[in-house]
Amino acid sequence: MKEPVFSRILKYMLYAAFVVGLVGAATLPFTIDRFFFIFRTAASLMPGYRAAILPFLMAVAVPCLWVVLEMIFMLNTIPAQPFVMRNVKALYRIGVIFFVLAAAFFLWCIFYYFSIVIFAGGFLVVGSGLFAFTLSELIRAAVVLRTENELTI
Amino acid sequence: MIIINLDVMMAKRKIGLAELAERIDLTQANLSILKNGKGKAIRFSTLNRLCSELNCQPGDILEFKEDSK
Repeated sequence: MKEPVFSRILKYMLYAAFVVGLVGAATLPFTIDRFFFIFRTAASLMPGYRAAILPFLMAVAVPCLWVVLEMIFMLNTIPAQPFVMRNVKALYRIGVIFFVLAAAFFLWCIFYYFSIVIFAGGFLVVGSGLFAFTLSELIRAAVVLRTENELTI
Repeated sequence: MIIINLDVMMAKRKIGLAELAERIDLTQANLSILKNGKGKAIRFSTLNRLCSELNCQPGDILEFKEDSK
């Protein structure tokens, strides 16, 4: 199967997102003070904010990077055979990651600081998780159909 | 359950897997899948070519057996 142009562009975008995300996450403790005005303001108003936000952001960054990596691996299967169980499991893992992220957002709002943006973002992430689970089931059905088709002589 | 008796017909007509596969324009691997009963479905075109080459009826190749419960 020839790889579609959009698929290739998407792959490069994901590579770029992964690299930027990795560098950003790694340098966050050093850059957050310098580049984010809102952070400095919040840190000056709320004691202990820096100690709470940095681990939270790092904890959120790692699963996000994992999701991007899984998407890259899935896109790499497109030229050969995209309907494989590996992609079904990858989408399932992405769904689980999104639910874990949503839980982290809600816990932040409940136990530290209630931010309407983070709270609403939690629901958005839950929706993304449900979407990933739905896609996982769809691809699973496609795998079954493909296997049956291959065994139709 | 449907039983494939292709090996029986091939033995009766004294034709090997490689030769039959070449005659009906099928790969040996696919014909082997059919012969061993691992196929999920068979196309009418394939059945047509098999019956033509083996000079038989579809019922000679396909047999129905009740599933043992």
